[in-house]
Amino acid sequence: MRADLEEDLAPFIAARWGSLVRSAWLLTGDRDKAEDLVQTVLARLWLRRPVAVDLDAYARRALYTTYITWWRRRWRFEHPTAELPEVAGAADHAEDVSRRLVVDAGMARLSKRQRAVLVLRYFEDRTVEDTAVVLGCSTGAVKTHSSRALAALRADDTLRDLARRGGDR
Amino acid sequence: MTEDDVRDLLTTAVPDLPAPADPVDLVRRRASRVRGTRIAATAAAAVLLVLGVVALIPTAAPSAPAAPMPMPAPGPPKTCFAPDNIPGPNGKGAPGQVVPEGATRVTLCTFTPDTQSARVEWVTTTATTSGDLSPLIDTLNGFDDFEEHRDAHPGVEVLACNLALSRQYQMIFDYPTGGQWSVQFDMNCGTVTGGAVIRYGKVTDALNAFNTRYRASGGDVPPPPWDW
Repeated sequence: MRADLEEDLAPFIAARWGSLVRSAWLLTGDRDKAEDLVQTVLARLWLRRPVAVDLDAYARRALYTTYITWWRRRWRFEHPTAELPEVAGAADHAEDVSRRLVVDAGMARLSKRQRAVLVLRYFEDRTVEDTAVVLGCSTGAVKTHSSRALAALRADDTLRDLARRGGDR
Repeated sequence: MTEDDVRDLLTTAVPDLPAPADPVDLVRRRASRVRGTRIAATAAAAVLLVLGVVALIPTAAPSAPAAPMPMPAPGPPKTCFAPDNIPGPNGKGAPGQVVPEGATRVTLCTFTPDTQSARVEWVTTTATTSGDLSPLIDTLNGFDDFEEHRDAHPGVEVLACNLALSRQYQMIFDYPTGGQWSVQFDMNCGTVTGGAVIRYGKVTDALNAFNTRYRASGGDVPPPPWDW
């Protein structure tokens, strides 16, 4: 029985790891936290595999709801270490790093729900209806969060400049 | 900044995140640790039970993804309930929505103090409206929970409840099920409370949403006054 489950889940994890971590990075702004969040969600799936559900949809809902309702509490109690939390890859360039920092700083000003809505709507390209299903709220709530989040980003001069430069490329 | 700009910003901001050599193994090991922790916790609980020690430990179980709150079942009718002039509930509260969706009617109770003495007598007035209440409900559910509020206001661990003797409000929602739901506004602390759920923010936005709905349904903006 266990082996059957593992046989079922292992390919899913291997295939979806990268995609889940990228979304989690936009939620947390940190590679270690993103991987920890994804591991937490997938480990839960591993321990209690729901029967007859779309694994990807389930994992994504769990990713966002865990992030919003529970995730932050764990990290508050993590201890700092002497190691750098994130190591830039060889392909990183100063402009990319700068861009990343500006976007992360802008996202950090949003509430957890606003941030989740932005990632779902504009990174995962989900419709308002899909986003509402993932977050377990109404489409009206998604629109409200989205509108407030966009207004907050638009009020950020640095982000606006960055977006303008992006448009000029 | 257009929505396409935001899409572009988010897409290009994500760094290269190479996958670990064996993500399945990482998950398997994490699951083993969680299982081990649960077993240890179960064993410890069993030992405590044997010793006759019963401890109630609140658990923040993450479990299943959140689902919209169901409409309330019929119960005793809810009425305007004047505040007791002490700061309302604050702190973390329960997770979830502050008001269930699907209400078809809402009554706003306004409590106005008619004296500035320590013993306040409240004058209660009401206004009722119906129709599309989703903007109002979304506004209420869109307010920050405790941790979001604290994240947005670093260092503010205790609310400054400094508007005593101001006007206070309550909303009573009616549902097609015949059930009702009450939301208390605490203008002192800037909170709304529905059941065990507490949210924080600019609560006058919800009062303005009511006002908008009230005007749209033909209300002539009678008392209660709308200058929150």
